[in-house]
Amino acid sequence: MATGSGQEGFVDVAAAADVYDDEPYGVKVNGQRVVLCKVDGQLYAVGGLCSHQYAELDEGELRGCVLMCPLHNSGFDVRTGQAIQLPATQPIPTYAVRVENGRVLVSLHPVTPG
Amino acid sequence: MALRIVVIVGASMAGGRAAETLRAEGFDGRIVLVGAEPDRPYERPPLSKELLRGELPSERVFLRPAEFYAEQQIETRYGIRAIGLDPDARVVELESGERIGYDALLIATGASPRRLQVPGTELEGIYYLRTLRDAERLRAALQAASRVVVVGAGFIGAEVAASARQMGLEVVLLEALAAPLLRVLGADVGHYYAQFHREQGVDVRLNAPVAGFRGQGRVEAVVLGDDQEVPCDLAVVGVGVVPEVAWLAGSGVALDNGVLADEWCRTNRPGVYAAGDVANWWHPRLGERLRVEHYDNAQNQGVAAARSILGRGEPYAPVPFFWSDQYDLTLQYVGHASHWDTTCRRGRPEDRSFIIFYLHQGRIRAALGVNRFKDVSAARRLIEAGVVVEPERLADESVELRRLLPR
Repeated sequence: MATGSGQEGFVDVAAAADVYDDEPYGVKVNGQRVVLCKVDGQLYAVGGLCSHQYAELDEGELRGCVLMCPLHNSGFDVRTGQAIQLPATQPIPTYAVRVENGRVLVSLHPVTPG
Repeated sequence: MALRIVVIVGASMAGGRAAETLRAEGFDGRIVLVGAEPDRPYERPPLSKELLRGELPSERVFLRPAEFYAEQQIETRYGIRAIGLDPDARVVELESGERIGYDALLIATGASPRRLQVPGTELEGIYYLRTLRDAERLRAALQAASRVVVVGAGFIGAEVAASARQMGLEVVLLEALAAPLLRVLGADVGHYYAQFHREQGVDVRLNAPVAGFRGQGRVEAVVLGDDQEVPCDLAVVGVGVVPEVAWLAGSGVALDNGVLADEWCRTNRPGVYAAGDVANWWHPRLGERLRVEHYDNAQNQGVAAARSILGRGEPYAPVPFFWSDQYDLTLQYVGHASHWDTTCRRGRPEDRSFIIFYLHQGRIRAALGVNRFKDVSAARRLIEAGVVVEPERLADESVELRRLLPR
């Protein structure tokens, strides 16, 4: 779990080289749990807690673009935050993410899909 | 036949998920959701855990907000039992006298606690746990008690024992067999669980069948087979469930340990489907019938039945999954192993993090993890893929499990 400090609405949370394909990577943004997910080389960042019951999604498995909850097997599309497998029915927040100078920067402002 | 009216009997996990799936899939006909319980569909897992301990209010267990069903134009009949079915006329009869015609019917009536048949069961202070209302009553009783005897160390009994202990009660956990959870998980895991409960201060007694209850109007003691008495303020009985099929007697729907269904959730009568705890269905990949009494199946089979009703079904052949939370232990079981010839273990019970694999003829049939989330995910995929693997590699923590998957 890494914690970063911010600049211009984004916060440095990890070295890009530390995030592997299919390996959820837990970080904190503004004190909130966030999970970095790398799918086919593309980075995504989503809220780190399941929308069904309390569960930490960085303990889960990334199957393609779907982050699975470790407790009850809910699934979330990391590209959109949408719940695509029960029991979760509500989305999780997504965060803008970019890579600069080998560092992963995550937006301080989550977007909750409608 | 045109599909205009779908009746779902059982406002349960299976029934609730089926109703919402019909709408989500675009069905615009009439949906009637009938439930014997007074409440809209809810999740049962918290009833023996957070809700029982008073950590979760009842409003938090429902699948959907109350207004959801009206918004989705799902008609509801709560607190009303179905009492009969005429599959030739395609009519369900309710205890209110209402008769509802259907084009498709989903039977999702679940199961009810098996009642102990011993002297003294009429005494007050003996509880069973199945419904939200049961849980609310039991919670109030536990809050006022100091010593509880739990009869049956299956999942419900073990979870109630753990919750009662966490609430500060003295707890005696009685199991008729030689170990808790023996039939599903085998003796080794059963003994670990007995040990976990003892470490938490539960008085676990094995090989202790109950002969009756004693008391003056109210239970004062549980009487064991050897006439020993275990004093208590209240008793909770968790000795399994029986499928709720009495209302189908004489209907011609084939029954055998529940409602017989195929991999499309279809029964032997046209337009009649079954899902959830009540369904004894043919699992095509396992090549055997299963009746599963767990959340994940109720949810997913409800969805599968709805799609099948709409003619968009696929054979329902899941890797079964259930979990149980006791103290700080999250047990997760994936797969199905009614029999096995080999087991192997990765991790150590004394570290409170391990997974046991159940193999038959070289293939992983099932796996049981305790606080072992990533390995359980990997095990699910290994089971799905039908991988043949040496037990030594499964047990070797230096081998990453998902590397054993075919590429």
